[in-house]
Amino acid sequence: MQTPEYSLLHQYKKVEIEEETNLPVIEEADATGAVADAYAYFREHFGRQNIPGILKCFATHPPLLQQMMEIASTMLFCEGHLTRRMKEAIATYISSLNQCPYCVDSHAFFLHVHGGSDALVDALATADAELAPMDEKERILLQFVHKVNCDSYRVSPNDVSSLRDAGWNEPQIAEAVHITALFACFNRVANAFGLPSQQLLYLRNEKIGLEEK
Amino acid sequence: MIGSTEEHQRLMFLPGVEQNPKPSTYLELIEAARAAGMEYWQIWHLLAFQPEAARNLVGFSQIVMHDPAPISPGLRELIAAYTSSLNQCEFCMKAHTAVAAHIYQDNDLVASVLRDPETSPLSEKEKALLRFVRKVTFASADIHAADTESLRTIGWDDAAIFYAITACALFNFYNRWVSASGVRPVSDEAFRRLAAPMAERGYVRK
Repeated sequence: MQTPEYSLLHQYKKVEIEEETNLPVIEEADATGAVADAYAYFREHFGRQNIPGILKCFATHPPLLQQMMEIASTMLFCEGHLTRRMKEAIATYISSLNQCPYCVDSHAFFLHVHGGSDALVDALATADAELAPMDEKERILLQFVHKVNCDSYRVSPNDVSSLRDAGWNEPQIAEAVHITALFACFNRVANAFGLPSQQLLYLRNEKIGLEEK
Repeated sequence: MIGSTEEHQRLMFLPGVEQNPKPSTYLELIEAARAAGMEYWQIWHLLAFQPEAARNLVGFSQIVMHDPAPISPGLRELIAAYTSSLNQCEFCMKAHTAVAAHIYQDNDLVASVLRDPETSPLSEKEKALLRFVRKVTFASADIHAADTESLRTIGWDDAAIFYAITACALFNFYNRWVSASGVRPVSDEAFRRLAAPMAERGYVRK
């Protein structure tokens, strides 16, 4: 797992978010026992001081918090069969389709940090795949994940064949499905809790980012 | 039985995933079912392809769906089956209908909820929770404090609401993973047989 985007956040002042959520979450100052331990584990392993809102939701039930961090670190916060940048492009696009302001903001920021251009970030963060500057191969993957998110019961072997013809291999296709499905889940948790955007994407204006790989 | 095995156990969409299981509990389950000529759940191939991810996912599912919580395991399974029906995921809907029916020991109750929770024999309190689950599935962006507040008014506490959200969200994951991977339904008899251990012991195998 690599989380350079979190290290970058060290340099910037936290934006205070004051919106009320629909359900209580465990704030860092209120964390005790198993939750405090899990937050400390997060800071150490993910390298970010501020605990993300989505973890504060699961912290209301500590055993789930640890599982949640494991799922995130093994599936998302890593290079896999797909590049981290492509995973974040999918995460941003799906979160935008599902109108999840919290997840759109986080993952659009991560996409930016991992080399996504402003035009790409803006297009995916507004669910406008047509405007996204992507090549044909990437565009076909984006169309596929749209279908997985919005009409998964209609996915057919032909959709998968089109991806193969475009040059995607099976582990990559499997990973795209997995990431899309995970965001169908996380977007709903974040929205049901009413998590506000963390306003990370504004940091883009501060010109922070990683070298292009 | 042999005929139905052939019909039901057709290939999934990604042969490279299906034919590449790693050593794991799920590979053992697949091999045991094949050796016995029994139908099995093709989702086991997805779990056997990535055992480490499967461990986290199944561990998460066990806590959300089966371990002690403010919502009974039966009602959580109804949430899973109902969410799956909203997403038109036939495999998950039938599997969790069977798990719920095993727990309630009442096929008719579960079938009536799947047809329409509003006309089912569920209590008003339970119906309100399923209405909320429907909104989490179809329109989560429109959920506001008034939605959670009305659930509190009718007697659900925050922990119960959390479990309803998480169980519903988890099945929004499974429905897409399963449908987009081409996991096929099995026969009704096999759904009943395979649902029993899940109803009794939960999601973690062995």
